Amino acid sequence: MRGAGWAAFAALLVASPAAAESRSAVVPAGFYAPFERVKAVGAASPATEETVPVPAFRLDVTPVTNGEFLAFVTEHAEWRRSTIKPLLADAHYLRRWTDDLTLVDEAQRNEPVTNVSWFAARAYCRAQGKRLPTTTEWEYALADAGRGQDEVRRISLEWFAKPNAQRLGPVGAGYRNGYGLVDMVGLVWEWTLDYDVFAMSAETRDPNGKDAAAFCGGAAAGVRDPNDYPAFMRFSLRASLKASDTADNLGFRCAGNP
Amino acid sequence: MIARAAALCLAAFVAISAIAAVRAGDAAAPLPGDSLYNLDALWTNQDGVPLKLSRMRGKFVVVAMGYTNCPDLCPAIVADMLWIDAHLPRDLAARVRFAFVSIDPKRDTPPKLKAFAEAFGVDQTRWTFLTGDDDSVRDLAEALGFRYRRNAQGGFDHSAIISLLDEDGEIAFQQNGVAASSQEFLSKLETLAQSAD
Amino acid sequence: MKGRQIFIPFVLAASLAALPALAATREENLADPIIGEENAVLADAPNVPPPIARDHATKVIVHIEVKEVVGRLADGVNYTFWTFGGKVPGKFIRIREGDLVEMHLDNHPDNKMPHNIDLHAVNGPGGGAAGSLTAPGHSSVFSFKALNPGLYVYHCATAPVAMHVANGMYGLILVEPKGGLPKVDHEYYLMQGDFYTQGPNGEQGDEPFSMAKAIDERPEYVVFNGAVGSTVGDKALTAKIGETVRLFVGDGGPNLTSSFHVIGEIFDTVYPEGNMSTPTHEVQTTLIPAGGAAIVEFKMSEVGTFIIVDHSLVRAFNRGALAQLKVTGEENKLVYSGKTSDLVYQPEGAGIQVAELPSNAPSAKSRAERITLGSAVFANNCQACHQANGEGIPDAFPPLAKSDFLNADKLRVIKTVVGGLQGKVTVNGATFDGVMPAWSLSDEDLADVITFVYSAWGNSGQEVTPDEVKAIRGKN
Repeated sequence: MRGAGWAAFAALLVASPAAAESRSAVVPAGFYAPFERVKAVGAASPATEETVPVPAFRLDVTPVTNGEFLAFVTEHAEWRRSTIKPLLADAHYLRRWTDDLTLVDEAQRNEPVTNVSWFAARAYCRAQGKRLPTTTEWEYALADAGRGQDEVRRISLEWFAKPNAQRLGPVGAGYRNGYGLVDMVGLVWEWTLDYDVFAMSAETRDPNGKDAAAFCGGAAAGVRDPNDYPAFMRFSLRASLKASDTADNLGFRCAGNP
Repeated sequence: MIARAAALCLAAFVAISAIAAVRAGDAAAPLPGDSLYNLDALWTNQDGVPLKLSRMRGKFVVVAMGYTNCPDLCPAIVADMLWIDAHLPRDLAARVRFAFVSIDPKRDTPPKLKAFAEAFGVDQTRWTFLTGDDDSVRDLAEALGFRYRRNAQGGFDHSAIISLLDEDGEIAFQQNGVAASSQEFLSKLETLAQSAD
Repeated sequence: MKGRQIFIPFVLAASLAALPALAATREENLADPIIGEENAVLADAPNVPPPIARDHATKVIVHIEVKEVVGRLADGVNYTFWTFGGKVPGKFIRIREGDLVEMHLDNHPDNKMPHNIDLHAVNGPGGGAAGSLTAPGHSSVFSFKALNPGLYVYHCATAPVAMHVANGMYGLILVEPKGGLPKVDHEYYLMQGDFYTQGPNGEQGDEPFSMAKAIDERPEYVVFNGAVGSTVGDKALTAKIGETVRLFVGDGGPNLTSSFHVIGEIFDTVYPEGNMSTPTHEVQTTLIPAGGAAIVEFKMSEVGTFIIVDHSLVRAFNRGALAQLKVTGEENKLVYSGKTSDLVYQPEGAGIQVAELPSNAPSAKSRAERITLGSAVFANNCQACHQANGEGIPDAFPPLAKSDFLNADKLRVIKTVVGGLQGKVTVNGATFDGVMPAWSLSDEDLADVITFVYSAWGNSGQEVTPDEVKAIRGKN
C-alpha cells in the first residue's frame, strides 16, 4: 500500500514537469553575432566582430496555437475580439476566427494563432508565467549554433515566394532545429519583445531614424551579412510593425526561464 | 447660523465638485478605446507618491520618456517641454500637465527624479517625473511609438518623441526628433484647447 | 550695324525664352501655390494616363495598392510577383511640376511582406521610403512637392532591396514640365526588368526567386513589362504610318542596364535618362541605367512590325527582352524597299548557341502528347522569331505556317533545327537570308517541337521521334 502510494507520487513528480517541459525547450547559453551592427555614437564604424552573450532560456517549441489562445481569451474577457481596446489591437484582431470564442473548425485549433497584437501576445505569455523572447534570443535560437542555416534560408525563400495561404497548416510539422524548436521559419512571422530595435540608429536625433536602417543604404551598411536576404526580411518586417498591429501571418511563441 | 453656514459650505462644495467633475471630463464616462489611460499601470512620482496616469484625465498632457543619466538627448527633450510650458497662454497653463517617464527604473529612483526636476527648475505642481516596473515602461513606450534599448555605453539609444494627449488620454500630436522650435506643438495644443471648450 | 546689334541679343533672348517651361527652378516649384485637389489617373503598361491639361499646380492624391500575386513570367512558367497595383511594372503616375502629391501606399492584408516606396522624383530622405514602410494590412501616407520635371523610376526600397525589385516592384512617375510635352499621336509605357529563377530559362512550373543568381547578376529572364511576350502579337504596340510615337521607357533592374533600340527606327528625339532640359536627336540606341528611364520619340516613316529590344542581344532573343510595334497603312517603298538584314543575330562565341537542357522533362508517349509538350518548347524557344501564329516576320524570319520548305523534307527540317542554317532559303515564294542558330535541346524536346510545328497552321501533320533526331545528330 505504502509502496504504491510512493510510486504514484514519484510518477506524479516525473509526469507534470515533463508535460510542462514538452511545450518548450531549453536553449543553452552561448554567444550571438547580431545581424544588425550598431554604430556607437561618435564611432566611425560599427564594431567588427561583435558578439553578445545570451544566457540560457526556454522557448516554446512551436508557435502558440489558436486553441491555446482561445483558452486564454475564454478566461480573460478583456482580450476578446469584441471587447479589446483599440489601443491594444487594430481592427483585424483575431479576424481569422468566426467570433469571440468560436474557431472556424476543429483543425484550426492546432494552427498558429495569428492576427494578434504585441500587447495581446505579451498578455498571453504573462498569463502563462512566461514572456515574449527578445529579438536577440529569438535570432540566437534560429541561428542554432550554426546548424542547418542553409535549410533555414531555403525554407525562408520558398515561403517568401508563395502568396499567403488561406489556411496555415498545423504547428509542429515543419523543420525542427537542433534545440528541438519547430516552425521558426516557414509558417508565421513572430513577435518579439523588442521587435522594433533594428529600426534604430544610435543617432536618434534623426526624426526618420525609424526607417533608416530598414531600407537601402542604411541596411547595407549596417549588417553582418548583406547576402542574408531572409534575415533582412525578418528585420524589415519587424521594423514595419507597431505594437497594436495585427497581420494574417504574424503570430508568436513565448519564452521563459530555463 | 452655523447650520446655514454649513449648508452654504456644503452647497458650495457640491457645486465646486460638480464643476470639477465636469471639467475632469467626468471620470464616470467610459474611456475612449484609444486612450493611453487604458494602460492601468501604477507609477511612482518624484515625491514617492504612487499614481496612475489616468489621474491626469481632464488635463492636456505633454508626455515624454527618457532617463536622468542621458548625456544630451533627454535634457534637450526636457528643454523643449520647458519651452512649451514657458510659452503657454496664462489661462491655458493651469489645464496642462507635463510628464516625464523614466526608461531606467533601476537607476531613476524617486530621489534621483526629484533632483532631476529641481535641476531643471520646473513647476512641480504641474510636472510629474515617473518611475515604474519594466513591463509598464515597455507598454507605455509601445503605445507612444517610443523605441529604446540599452547600448554598449551603459545607457540607452532611444527616440526623441514628445507627445500631446487630449483630456481623455488620446494621442493628439507627436513631435518627432529634437526640433529647432516646438512652435508647431504649441499651436496644436492651443487648437486642441480651443476645440475642447 | 544697328540692326545686327539688336538682332543678336534678340535671338539670344528669344531662344532663352523658347527654352520651354522646362527651365522652371526648384525654388519656383516650391513656391507654386496649390490650387484644388484631384485623384490621380493611373494607368497600367503599356498605356499612360492622358497629358496634364491644367495650367496650375494642384494636390494629387495617389493610391497604390501593393499586391503579391502569382502570374505568368513565360509560357508555362509561373512566378510570385510583388507588385505596385497588381501588375509589373507598377502603375504609371503622371503629374505636373509644382504639384503636391499625397501618396497612399496600401499593403494588402493578404501579402506576406512589408513594403515601402522610393520615388526618384522626391526630394527627401529615402525618396519617400523613410515614412512609408508598411506592414501587411496597413497603409502609409506621406506627401511631397514635385520640384523637378522628368521621367522618374519608383521602386520598393525595403531591405533586401534587390529582392523586392527583382520581384517586380518598380514603375514610372512622369513629372511634366509646366508647358507639357509636345503633342504626339501615341504614347506608350515600357519597363525592363531582370528576373532570377531557381530553374533555368524555360523550365516549366512555379519558379521561386534565386538569391544566388541575383547576387551573381545572372538573370534567367530579361523582359519588358513583367513577362516574356508581354507586348508581342496581338498585344503589340500599334501606330499608323506618318504618326508620331513617344515611348516612356524605364529600367527597373535590379541589376542590368538597357541598350534600348527599336529595330528599323531611329529616335528623332531622346530625353536621355528622363531629363527634360537637354534632348538629343537622331539616336539609334540609348542607354537606360538600372533605376533610370528615357523618353524616345520617333515618327513612323514605314509600315511593318518593328522589334523593340535591349540591344544586349542575347537578352532580347534568349531571355525575352523583346517587344513589338506594329505600324499599318500604305507602304512607302521609297523609304524602305523591302529588304533588310537587320534582324540577323549572332550569339556570342561560335554560331552555335546553346540553350539550357531542361531537367526531368517528361517524355511523350503519343503524337498528341508530343504536340502538347512541343507547343511549350515552341513558345519558349521559337516563338520570338517565328511568332505565335507561325507566320514569322517578312524579310526576317521565315513562316512555318503552311510552309513548303517544311512539308517537302522532314529530314532537312530536323537537320536545320539540330545544326542551324545560314544563307538564302526560299519559303512560300519569299526569300530569306539570315541565320538560324543550332538548338541543342534534348532529342525529346526537338522531336516534340517539330511534331508540334507539323501539326499546326495547315502543315502536313507528320510526327518526328527522338530517335530520328538522334540519328540526324549523329550524322552532323
